[in-house]
Amino acid sequence: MKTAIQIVAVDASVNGILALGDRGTGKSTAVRALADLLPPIKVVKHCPYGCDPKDHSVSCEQCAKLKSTHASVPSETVPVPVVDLPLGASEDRVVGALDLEKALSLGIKSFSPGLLAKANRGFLYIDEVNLLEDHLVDLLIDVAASGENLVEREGLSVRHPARFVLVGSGNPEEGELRPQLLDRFGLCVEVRTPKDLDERILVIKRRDAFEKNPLQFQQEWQAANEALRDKILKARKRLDKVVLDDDFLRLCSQLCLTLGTDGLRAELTLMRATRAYAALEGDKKVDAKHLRVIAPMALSHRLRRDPLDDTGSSARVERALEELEL
Amino acid sequence: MTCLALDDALWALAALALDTKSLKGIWLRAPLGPVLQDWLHGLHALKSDVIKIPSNIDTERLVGGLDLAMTLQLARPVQLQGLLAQSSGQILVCPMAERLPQATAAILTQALDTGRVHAHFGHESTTTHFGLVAIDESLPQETSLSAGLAEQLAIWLDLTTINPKDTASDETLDMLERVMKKMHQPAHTHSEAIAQVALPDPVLHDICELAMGFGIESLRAAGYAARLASVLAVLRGDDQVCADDLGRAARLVLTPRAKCMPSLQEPLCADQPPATPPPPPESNEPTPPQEQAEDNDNAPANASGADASPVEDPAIDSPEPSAPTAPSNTDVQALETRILESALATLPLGLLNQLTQGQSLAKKSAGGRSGQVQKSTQKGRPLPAMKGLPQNGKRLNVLATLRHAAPRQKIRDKGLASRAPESLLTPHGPPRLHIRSEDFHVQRFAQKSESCIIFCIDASGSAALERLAEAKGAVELLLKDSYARRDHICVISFRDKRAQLQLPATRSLVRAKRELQALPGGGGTPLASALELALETSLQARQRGMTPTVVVLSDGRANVTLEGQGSRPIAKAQSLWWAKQCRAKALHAIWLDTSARPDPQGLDIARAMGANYVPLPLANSQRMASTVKTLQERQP
Repeated sequence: MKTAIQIVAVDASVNGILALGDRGTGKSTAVRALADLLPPIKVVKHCPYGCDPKDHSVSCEQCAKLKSTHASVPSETVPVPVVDLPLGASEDRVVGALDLEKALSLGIKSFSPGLLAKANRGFLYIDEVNLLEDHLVDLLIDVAASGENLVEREGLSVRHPARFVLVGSGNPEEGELRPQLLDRFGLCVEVRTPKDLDERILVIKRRDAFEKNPLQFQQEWQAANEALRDKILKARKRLDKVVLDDDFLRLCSQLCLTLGTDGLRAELTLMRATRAYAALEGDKKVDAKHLRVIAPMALSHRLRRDPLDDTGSSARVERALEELEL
Repeated sequence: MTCLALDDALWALAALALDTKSLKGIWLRAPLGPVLQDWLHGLHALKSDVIKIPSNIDTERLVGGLDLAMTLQLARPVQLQGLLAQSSGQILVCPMAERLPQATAAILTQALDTGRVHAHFGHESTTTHFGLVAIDESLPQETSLSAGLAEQLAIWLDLTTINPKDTASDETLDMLERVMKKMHQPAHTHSEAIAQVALPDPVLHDICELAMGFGIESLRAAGYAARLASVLAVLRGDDQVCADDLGRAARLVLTPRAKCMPSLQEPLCADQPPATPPPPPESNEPTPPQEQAEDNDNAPANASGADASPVEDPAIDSPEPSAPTAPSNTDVQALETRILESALATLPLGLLNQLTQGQSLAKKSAGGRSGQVQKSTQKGRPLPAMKGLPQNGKRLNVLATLRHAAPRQKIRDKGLASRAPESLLTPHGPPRLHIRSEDFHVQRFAQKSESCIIFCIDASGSAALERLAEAKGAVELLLKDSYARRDHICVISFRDKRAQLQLPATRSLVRAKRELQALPGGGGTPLASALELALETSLQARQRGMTPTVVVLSDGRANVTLEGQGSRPIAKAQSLWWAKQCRAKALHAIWLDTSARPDPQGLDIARAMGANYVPLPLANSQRMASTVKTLQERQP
């Protein structure tokens, strides 16, 4: 899980994580920790969608106008948004709706952005994603794929960027996830609680320490947090320089063929995730050892499987890796 | 008579009052009655600011947002602060929490988890730390509190075992008196006192070991137990956690969550009573459940006797205080109890589809995919609102109406419109909002109408045992079918004395399959009891907006009455009566006859039920395979 989170932090195009596991195994905690970890981003001032002041290709209508007329736009620094999508959220809330306040007081029609707007350039975290209402799932699939939220309702016609990393968590025992949505998640990790007694005690102890004195706890861990942030920042810089040669890509495709995954999304994710992982590790070239780490995460949820087969599909990935002698 | 359960309940109450922020709340399983009343009185006495919320509370009221009534009256936006934000540091009491709609439960869960509330359409979130007492009055076979919400609440308390005549021990009463005096102090003095309590490593070690022994995956539970132990120490006026605190914390936090039954079938919810006689739990001292009464006496004695004694004793000695002593000896000795692997069965292809979509004898139903989508004006997933007047029971969609009216206010203000405004919504308010009949929108819903398939499996010894394996195979085939249709599955088994709900409605096939594999066979055929339970379950499913279908796999040879007595004629009469009840409720049913050769008894009951009668063909015949093939070819 930790590796997966770092990978998406390095390269957002990996397209999200699905964390499967029981309640209370620290899935949410790990995701929320992201917000603290990531360096703040620059956004256009007062832009509800948090557009990038420098990037001209992706921006909302207002910012595009602003950018075309002004050489530099006022900007401010904000932490990376990590938005929680609650299970019972209404469609209005997620997509955005007519701003009732303005409509009533000023009599003008304006758009009140929803959670998708808020999550732009950040992370959208859905706890218990497998219990999400189907109509919300459809909506998310669409937006996650296009990176753009199109609102056509109540006489509004708004289009705004919504590029976010989808992070979902859930317990597969409570319900299955639709295969279409499964495929949208780049990486899939299974989270289990530590079986080691000492490790568990350590967790409880730290939790207790935090509860008793949050400030001191924060200070103690500041250094470790910053080291990790540095690691991610360095990896981001290195990302473009990491070499991906044809032999390696051939290997990826071979693996996907052996496993019979549908579509090419698997290969693309494998490529991006291994590259990010290599950058994190400080390696210059991607090779088989990176693939070995990433393949189970990137492939296990893409295999066609028998719905009643409860053996994990990660075992099948392992077997395929062995067959290819990796 | 003093009662340990009552003592625990009162300590839990005091602990929550003292440390609302960290303990977050109590999942209180209690029927309405004097015990619950007294307990709530106690809560009121400790915390004067207890707020009661109804389970059907508006989410808007909960999280805050635009106050529509005021906004309309004053014609300027009036924000309403949500109840959750208002009640930081206070305790919310929610009766009938098991009936909380999913959306409400999700909001509560998120607020408890993150300590923040997001207002609707607002961009800022408010910090809040409230306590929640979720009173769950559900009966064992009904759905209980949402699991996510329950996970957030530290203490799981069961008041059902407490007798109104029980009294608390002197120690508890002393403690309550002391706490009562302390309560007026500001909250931070309490949290400082709790922070003073040392949690030495051995104590944490014990808690973690215990949690693992109970098979509790969640680390949250162990954390809560540690926290509760320190709060209990403060309640005693001490700064050291003693064995007594630890035992009590374990009883309040860990044991109710225990799910470790190292058997084939692990009950996934702690509240489900184990179906098979449970083998002893994985603790180092296996304690038969019958010794429960003794344990209760032992625990305080042990603890008060020795401070330095190994702390495990009081904690482990009551593995399941709340579990009913269901596994009686007769059950264990049930002669032919066997677990059979599922075997290959042959079913016509797409049986479920054909049968659920085809016309049932009981009720005509239109075709469709899994669950029929019905447009409804009452409930379901919201569709865009439709223009129209709120008549014939249609609900006015206030928001859509206002959205339609709002942009036109200026024009109407200027009197450009010739018609006089029909200000139906605000007859007297000073600045009028002009709403016209053309603005009215009504609510529309696409009723999701998920299907729920209730499998009623005859696991009796009679004819079914020989074909139980095959029946399991058949159900597995149907399960696969229902996966594609995204149905909910529910498994009821009946054998020996009565029918049992093996698996409440779920979408998890892995669970369904596991339940099925671990299904034992043998004993009589309590068909009437099964039909009764099936009917009850389907009505519950219907209440939750699902379309139930009952699939009975049985030979129809009922020989056990509802009372658990062996009598063939009475059992048959009762079965017929319940079958007719099912028909009266227009229940959609399918009867798969598992007897070796199709039998009039099964057919009779199936007819009475209005069920589609399908004899389950013998799997081993070659002929069957060819029949399936022809069926396959016949399909377009």
